[in-house]
Amino acid sequence: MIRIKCPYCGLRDHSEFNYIGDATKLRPINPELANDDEWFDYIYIRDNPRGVHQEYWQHISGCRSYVKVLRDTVTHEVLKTGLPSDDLLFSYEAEK
Amino acid sequence: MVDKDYNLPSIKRQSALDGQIESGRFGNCKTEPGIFIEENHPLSIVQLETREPPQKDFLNVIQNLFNFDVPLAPNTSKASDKTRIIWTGPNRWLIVEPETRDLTSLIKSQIKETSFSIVDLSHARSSIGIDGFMTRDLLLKGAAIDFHPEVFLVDHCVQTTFFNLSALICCLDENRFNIFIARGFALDLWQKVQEAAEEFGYETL
Ligand SMILES: [Zn+2]
Repeated sequence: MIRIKCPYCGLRDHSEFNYIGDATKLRPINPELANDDEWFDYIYIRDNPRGVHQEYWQHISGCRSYVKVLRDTVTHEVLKTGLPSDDLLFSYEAEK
Repeated sequence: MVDKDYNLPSIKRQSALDGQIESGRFGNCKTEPGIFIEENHPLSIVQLETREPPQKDFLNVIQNLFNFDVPLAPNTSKASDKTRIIWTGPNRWLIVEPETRDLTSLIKSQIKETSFSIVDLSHARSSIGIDGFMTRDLLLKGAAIDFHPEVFLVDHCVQTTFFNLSALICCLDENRFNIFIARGFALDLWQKVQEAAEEFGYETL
């Protein structure tokens, strides 16, 4: 069982959360100027990393907030969680 | 049409559990029942949400209406004899009281700022109350939450999955809890609680 710490509600079972997706993808900075390739990349192209991955989850059965989660895709260990605006990878690397 | 005295419309609010509750003692009742179950009905249930952390004006309105403040800490609630305000998310609360007045219109008429939303959920939620000395043991069977009395204190609340249903569980007193659930799941919840309470012996009120 994966347990995820919601920044508001505290540590809960992952069954209370929905997986939303890759949190490393950024929307084109100038949406009006972005071409089809950039949109295609933003919407469809995902890496499938082995190891540390930054992703969005939603605390759907709890406070309904989005939560950012740093998870190891091999061990499923949840390394860090935070608000959607947090850069978890940066703080995780800095603490190592 | 909003009644200017905030009276209720004359139509009776119908419970989702109407005709489903058989009162009496059931299960392992050789001694006193360990669990008491009842439906809380009719309730005024109003969701209030502000876009930003609430401003002073907003807080003052709530304070004036209910004589206490909205709880700002996650997983907590505050209550008077009549009304309970429950934290349900960042800048979001559920205001609950036995239905005696048009609570939504009353609150709406008082709040002057524009960046808030108010939704009447009275008909969208069902609530049951559980009491008795085995209540915390019963709750443990349905949710992966620490219900120990030193951890889950009075006025504490959680939103979690309870027997696989999304539920809001609120502690009113040492052994007394209210559970709120989407109306369509009311009967499912009622039956699951009954089933879970069999081993403790239960009384429906
Ligand atoms: Zn949460």
